[in-house]
Amino acid sequence: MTNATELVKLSAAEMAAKLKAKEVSSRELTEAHLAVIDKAEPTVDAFLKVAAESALAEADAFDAKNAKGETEGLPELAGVPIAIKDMIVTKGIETTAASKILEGWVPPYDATVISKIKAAGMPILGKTNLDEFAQGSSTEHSAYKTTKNPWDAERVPGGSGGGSASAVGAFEAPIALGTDTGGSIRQPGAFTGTVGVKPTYGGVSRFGAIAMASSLDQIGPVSRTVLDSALLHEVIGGHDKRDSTSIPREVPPVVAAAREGLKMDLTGLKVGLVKELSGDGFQADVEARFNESVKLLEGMGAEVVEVSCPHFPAALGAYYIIMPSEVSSNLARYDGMRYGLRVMPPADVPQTAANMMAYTREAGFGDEVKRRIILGTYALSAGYYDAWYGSAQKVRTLVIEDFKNAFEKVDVLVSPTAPTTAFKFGEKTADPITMYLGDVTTIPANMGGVPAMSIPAGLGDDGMPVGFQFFAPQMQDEKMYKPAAALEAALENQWGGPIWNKLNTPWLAD
Amino acid sequence: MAWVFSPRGEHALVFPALRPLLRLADDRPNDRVEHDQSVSHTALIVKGMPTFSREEIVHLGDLARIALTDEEITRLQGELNVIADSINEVQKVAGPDVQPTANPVPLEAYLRPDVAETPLTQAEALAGGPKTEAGMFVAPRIQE
Repeated sequence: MTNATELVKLSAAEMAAKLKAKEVSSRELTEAHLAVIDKAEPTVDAFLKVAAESALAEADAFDAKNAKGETEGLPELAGVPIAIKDMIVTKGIETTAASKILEGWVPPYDATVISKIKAAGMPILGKTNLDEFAQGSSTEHSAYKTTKNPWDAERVPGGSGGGSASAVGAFEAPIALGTDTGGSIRQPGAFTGTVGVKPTYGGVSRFGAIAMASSLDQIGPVSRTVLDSALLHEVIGGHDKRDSTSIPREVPPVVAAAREGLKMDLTGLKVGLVKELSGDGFQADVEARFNESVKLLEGMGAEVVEVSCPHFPAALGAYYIIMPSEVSSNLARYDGMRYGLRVMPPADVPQTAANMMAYTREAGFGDEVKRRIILGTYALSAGYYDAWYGSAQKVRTLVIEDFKNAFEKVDVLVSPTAPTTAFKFGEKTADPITMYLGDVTTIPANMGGVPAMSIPAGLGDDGMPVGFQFFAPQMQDEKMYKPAAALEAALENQWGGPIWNKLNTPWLAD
Repeated sequence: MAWVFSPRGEHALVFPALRPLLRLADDRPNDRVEHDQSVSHTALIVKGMPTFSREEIVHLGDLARIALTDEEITRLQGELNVIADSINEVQKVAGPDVQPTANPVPLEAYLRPDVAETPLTQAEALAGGPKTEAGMFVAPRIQE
């Protein structure tokens, strides 16, 4: 058996190749990751639930198939273990969305993406931590635990998908699933030195993704390499009749594009720098790493021009109307009737259904979720709907037009993934507005429904990772994978290896 | 970057590019319309920022079915006023000639093939229920 530490440092594609060559079994891979989880969790706290038993059973089932040569037609990642953000329902594994209102809930069905992952023979290692109902940008709003950034345990891993990003960054899992409503896959990717992809809206089925803001939510891959995200994207993508927003088309050729990118030739590619996503407010070292990466793109033959998207700044305000509005509607289902928590009112309050709901929701939801539900209830109420939700939907039209105009001039748009590197715990929880401002770079993609991804672009002055973001046109996700893979290869040439060579991993020591 | 002061006395880091979005306490116009039953909703929107009174937060808590505590009502009042101010600018960008978009990737609605599927069993559907009896969810009484 290969040394477990060496195994977990492989990319998912390399693990898949070893499985195919029968140099390693899925059980060995799964056991190696479970061992890392055991050692890393006291420091990282990325998981809400580890599903060791079912993961090993899934691994054994794959190994039995592999031994008999019955893996024909399975995706390339067949047999490679994966972690799942606890915003996605898993039959038989407790799913909470990091909320007390769903504590102990075991879903009776699988999300479509989970069915696909199970059909691919990919063992599910467990469920990762997040901001409650994916509402936050630091994972500090989880009702259960605080996930640490593997690069510095005093800093946040980003959010809402801090658990998936930290798990992959700390080698507890080779790949993971996240959900991205305003940047919840990409910003944690930037903060933890990992890759995070938000596919085109409707490109991956959301059946079984716990709904937050339905006009913005999207499931996507988390990984340590661009190719691994592409491979996972192909496993989970495609049409699903159970999701009415699912695009009835084949998955874009993202794997071929990522492999093409590894040739590091970007001749003929036009890259647009988003003027509005730079300048004041962006950390100097974030901008420096960003500009260095742009130079590398140019060095590989890309033509770089500046592009203006004048409505991107307004997208932030519009997002903070649309998102809470849809949150208030989607979270109305947590009523203490059919599943989840039920809290009866105190004895001096009438024991009615309505009062039960009010006391259940008071006890079950955290501060940030209540804040958003109340704001959304206001924005959707009679007399305010047109001025708030209606205006915000107009801004969405303007953002879509900005993207359309930009993509007439260039093939992809680029920006820093976040204006800053990972901040310290508690630094932004005091005032919600300062936390919201950090999402300015990621929100336009959700508002416009376009695909976007973050890859590591080096370290800031504080030693924390910096993210580089690509945007591509709707339903042309492959267009960002090629330059992303090329940039990743160019950066690794420069660094002499992946960014995580600089990461201290005491939990991997024997 | 610049520091401004929120009504709660905390420092907030402001990005100049986003300044138009942020109308924190110090920037508020003096003719700010306070919440008043005699002022119509439309007047509030046109003339100034929405202001969340304590009564309004209580009302929103009722609508949202959340039994907010006194402390939460006080805190939400401050926070929502700041958030509302910051996003109020959206209305200035969204002119009457701009059409709203609900779904960023418009699709034509279609019907799936009319083929029977196996739904959850009754036991599975009831498994997560806080209180069940004889194959049914048990709810508290509706009337007082």
